[in-house]
Amino acid sequence: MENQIPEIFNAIPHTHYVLLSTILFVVGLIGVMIRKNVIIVFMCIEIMLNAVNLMLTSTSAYYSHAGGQIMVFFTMAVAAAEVAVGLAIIVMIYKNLHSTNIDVFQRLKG
Amino acid sequence: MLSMIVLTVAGVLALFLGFTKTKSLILPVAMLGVLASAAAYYFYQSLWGEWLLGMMGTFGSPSVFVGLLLACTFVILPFLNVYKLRGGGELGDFTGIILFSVIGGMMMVSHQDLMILFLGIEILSIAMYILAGADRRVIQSNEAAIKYFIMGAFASAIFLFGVGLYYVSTGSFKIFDVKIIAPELYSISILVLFAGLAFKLALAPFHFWAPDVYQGAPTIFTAVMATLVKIAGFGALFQLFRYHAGFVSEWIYWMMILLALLSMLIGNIMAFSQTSVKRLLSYSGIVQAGFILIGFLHTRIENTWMVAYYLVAYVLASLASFFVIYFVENKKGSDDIGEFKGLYYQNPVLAVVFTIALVSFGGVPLTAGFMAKLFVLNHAAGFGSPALVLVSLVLAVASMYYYFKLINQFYTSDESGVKSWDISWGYKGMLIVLSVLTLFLGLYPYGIYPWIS
Repeated sequence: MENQIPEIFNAIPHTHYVLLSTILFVVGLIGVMIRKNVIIVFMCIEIMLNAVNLMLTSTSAYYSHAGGQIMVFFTMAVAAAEVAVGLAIIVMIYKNLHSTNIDVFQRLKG
Repeated sequence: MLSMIVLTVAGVLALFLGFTKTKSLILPVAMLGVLASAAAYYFYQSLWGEWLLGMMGTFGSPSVFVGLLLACTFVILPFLNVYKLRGGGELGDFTGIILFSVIGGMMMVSHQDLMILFLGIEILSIAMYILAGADRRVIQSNEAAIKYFIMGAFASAIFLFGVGLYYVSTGSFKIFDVKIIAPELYSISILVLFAGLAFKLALAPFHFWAPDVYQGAPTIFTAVMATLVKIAGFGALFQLFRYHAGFVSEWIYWMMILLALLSMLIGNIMAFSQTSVKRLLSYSGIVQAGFILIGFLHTRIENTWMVAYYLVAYVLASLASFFVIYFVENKKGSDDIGEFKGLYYQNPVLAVVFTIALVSFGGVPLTAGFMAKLFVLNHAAGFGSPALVLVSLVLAVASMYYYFKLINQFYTSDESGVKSWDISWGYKGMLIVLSVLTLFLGLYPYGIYPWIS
């Protein structure tokens, strides 16, 4: 029965997975708010997305419902698309301003 | 489904035509694509009431919002033609990207499954990040793109967290036939989903990215952001709350009232001191979003027309004003409030069109904006919240100050001696049509009732 979920995963209560992913999500959230480098901020957003992926997969196993794992595939594809566009924007800014620090973006205000 | 396939094909064709020498074909192909998509949507609806195993539905409110999205795109596309970025070399790319973003919007407004809603939001947003940074060499545009991107990706992550909590609390992504396993977690998940969408809709206190992005992005794409994203976002919110209105706790509605009031208050206060007209209109957009949110209290399918009517009024005024700003900015090189001085003596049509759009934003009687505000406040009064009605009425009147400050500029004579200038008749005609529609809907609001209910 190789398609069964291994016993060790069922031994961990589902609540623990949800709590762990919530903690990871909050770590990413705080990172977005306090870090100054755009690329690090971007990585923190990826941590937030992956925290939700953990929640979705564990919940999918818990309810024996495949939808959660399909959603993880979509999330990863979306994250990849976001990385492509985001890095392109960062490269464009680096070419013009020679910096990726968040403090240089102060031209627009009022 | 067929309508989305048609739009995709049109978008890919536009991308390829951008490579070839036949650039004049891009616009007709794109506009035909939008028309064909609308035809496919309305004539094949009876065959496929539900798409993708029931993950998308066409019954009820979705058909109204899809119609709005397609009509709005149809108006925006011709104006792209004047956006001559280095000789119009990238026209094909931007036309294609706009068509793809409309597909995302259609997915958002017709979702019956949070998976589709998340994908729709991402398709729409990623396209918008690119459009915000379209002027690659202009630092303001770069800054708008990175701010929009960081805040947008952050909002998407929060929304996705809401999807995760929803999955934990109900064991499914479907938004109908909900079997709630954990009621408290379920309410929190709806709140987090709402916060994620509020970021995209620029509702206060999640609005801080909007003024920067609206100001920095090329004006023609600011018009896209102010209209397509708002229609898609409110359509998605409507679809979400239409199914969940019966389940969510009462405090979600208090949250909604709070957000609506905050949006109206902060938008108004910040708009008073703006000197950039694009920035002023972005704050005005935040105020309008607050008004639309009032229409969401106790969402039912019968309320579709009220939200849709407000969106029509808002979109007509937004498109007209951003196009006028675009032409003025093109002529004078800045969107500062001083550049609009004496506009009436230089180009009377633009001045009158802009005046009608602004009074419609402000809610002066005889315009669509007045009727829209009347319907929404009537709805709020029906639920016994006179305080809400009173406060929003005061704020609507207060907003007249900055609209009329701007209108006053058009009609004061200008000593700088700028000669009168003109735009081509095609664009002038379209702007006049937008204004006439605003006035027509103000005088005869039930004219579009059969279309939006």
